[in-house]
Amino acid sequence: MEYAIVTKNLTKVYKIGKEQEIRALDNVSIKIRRGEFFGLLGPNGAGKTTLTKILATLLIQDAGEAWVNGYNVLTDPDKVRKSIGWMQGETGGRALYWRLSGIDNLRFFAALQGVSSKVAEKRIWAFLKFLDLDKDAFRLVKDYSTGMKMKIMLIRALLHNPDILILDEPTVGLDVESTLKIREFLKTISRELDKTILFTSHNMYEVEQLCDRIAIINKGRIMFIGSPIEIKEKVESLHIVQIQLRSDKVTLEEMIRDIERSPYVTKILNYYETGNVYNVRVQVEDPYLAISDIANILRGRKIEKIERVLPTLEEAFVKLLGS
Amino acid sequence: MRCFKLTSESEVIKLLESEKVSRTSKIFLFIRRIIAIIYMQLKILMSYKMQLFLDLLDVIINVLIYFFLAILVDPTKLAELGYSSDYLAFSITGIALSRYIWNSIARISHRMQREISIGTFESIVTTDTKLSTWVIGQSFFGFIWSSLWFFGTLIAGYLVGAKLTTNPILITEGLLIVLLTVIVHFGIGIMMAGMSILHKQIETLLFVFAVLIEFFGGVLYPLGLLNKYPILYYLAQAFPFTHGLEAFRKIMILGYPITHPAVYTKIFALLAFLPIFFLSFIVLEHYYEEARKRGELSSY
Repeated sequence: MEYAIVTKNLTKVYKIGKEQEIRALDNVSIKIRRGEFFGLLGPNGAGKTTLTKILATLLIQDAGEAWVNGYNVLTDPDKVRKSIGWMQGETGGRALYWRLSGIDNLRFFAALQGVSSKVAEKRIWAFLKFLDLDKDAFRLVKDYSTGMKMKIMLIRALLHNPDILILDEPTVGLDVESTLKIREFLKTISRELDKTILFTSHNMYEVEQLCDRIAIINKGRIMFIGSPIEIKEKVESLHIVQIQLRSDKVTLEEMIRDIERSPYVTKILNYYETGNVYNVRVQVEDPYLAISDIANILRGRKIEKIERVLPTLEEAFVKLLGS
Repeated sequence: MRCFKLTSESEVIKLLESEKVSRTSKIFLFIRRIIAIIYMQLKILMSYKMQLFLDLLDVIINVLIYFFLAILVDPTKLAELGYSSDYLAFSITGIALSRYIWNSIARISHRMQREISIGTFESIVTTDTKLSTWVIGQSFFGFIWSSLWFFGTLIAGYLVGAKLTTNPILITEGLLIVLLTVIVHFGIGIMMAGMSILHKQIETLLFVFAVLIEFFGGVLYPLGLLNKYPILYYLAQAFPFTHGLEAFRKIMILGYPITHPAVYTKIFALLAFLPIFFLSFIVLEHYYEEARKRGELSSY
């Protein structure tokens, strides 16, 4: 079986009141390969959570079909549940028993998942230790930080060692160190254990770092599926030029004002200072004319670099959504 | 407590590779899950110390209320209607059983609503555990916990002078009646829990149910009083609780054995309601599926 997750024309409509309805998913068809780290990107209300909930058997679609690990979500929900580990980070750690300790939460869910006590105990302690929670294992969850709760939720999703992980914003609210650790860990289990990971996030950098492929979803429709590089290349009309200039005798504001004088510059995308170098990213109409024009405007200044670059995933994402 | 010293990523990976398939039998898994649910609930409940104290206070206050009320009730009237002349024993058995049943039923729905509102419900239903297993576990805990209230009320009543049987065989028979009443109402509890998945707040319905069993069950007055109002009398027979309480009182107050016609006819009547138990799982499944269609398994 080549694919871990397949959806075919998946459609979900929520009825609001008697007449109004929201089309949360509109003919969504995706194929996620076994062992693939797959990202789902989209603005709020795009349909990401609806899709993950259908795949996690929490929601029934109105039309179309979906298979997880080869099992149909409608006809074989029990087998689908055995195959998946589900985590919803959006809740910010709410979906735990706050009056129980972290370890009691995990032991309870291990029992529900049918993991033997002996194996569960080993796994729980290993995960807790790995995610630096072992010392807080016996504290009540109500006294945990959001990050700690999120880690417990992630461990919970992994306890029964599922083939597929469906992680809805798993790093929301985590500190930088924990985020990095979790990212590394997810990357490793995807690579070493051939786990398939469906991952939603608002953090473009994270998605770009982790995911083999990405689907961009908006208003319930899949707009694009491909690798991060392919997505960037897809937005051909988005031309970006990056300028680096030594900060001698000029302020960053003056430099930006100068660059804005070029008729080819349509938008200043971002600017920052590193050491004594100013960095400015601009969106332009014609990159070649823009580069020579900007170079001309900045003549006499110490230009380190001026080049055409690929858009960031975030820029490509905004462009795709805009179009 | 064992604390395995595994810290590196590769060790965690190895651990995940080590065991994948559980070879445990289904029955053992079911029992383990039920125990896990009961244990989890007990731990949560124990963390609310004030709640435990208030429950105990509730038992004492209730018994005292009916102790003083019994002084006002004309004992001959009660005896004329087929009971002993002890209103304290009469009211204590009624209150103990009705509260037991209602608390147990309400607890399943409350728990369901709570799990949905805190978001744990979705996490539970994405596990390998069937919803019916979870509901049975919650119900067991509800009945076990409420039975403390039930026995507490009966013992406290006995201590302040309620004339209840102390014959161990009759007590066992009385408990069998309670068990049968519980099983029938277990089904009603599961149906209401199913409704609470979709409709969330079913407090009003639970309240109405509590009032109905209190009125039609003859918790505080003998059902014989309803003879003058045939419609009400026949309506009362439509409640399984009425039959359970009648049989329980005949055993505990009058000392009738289970073979007495006044008791076994009530048992047969209770058995007629048993299909509710089996029907309840179909109702639960219906509401659960409907909630999955509408996306109502959580209410953030």
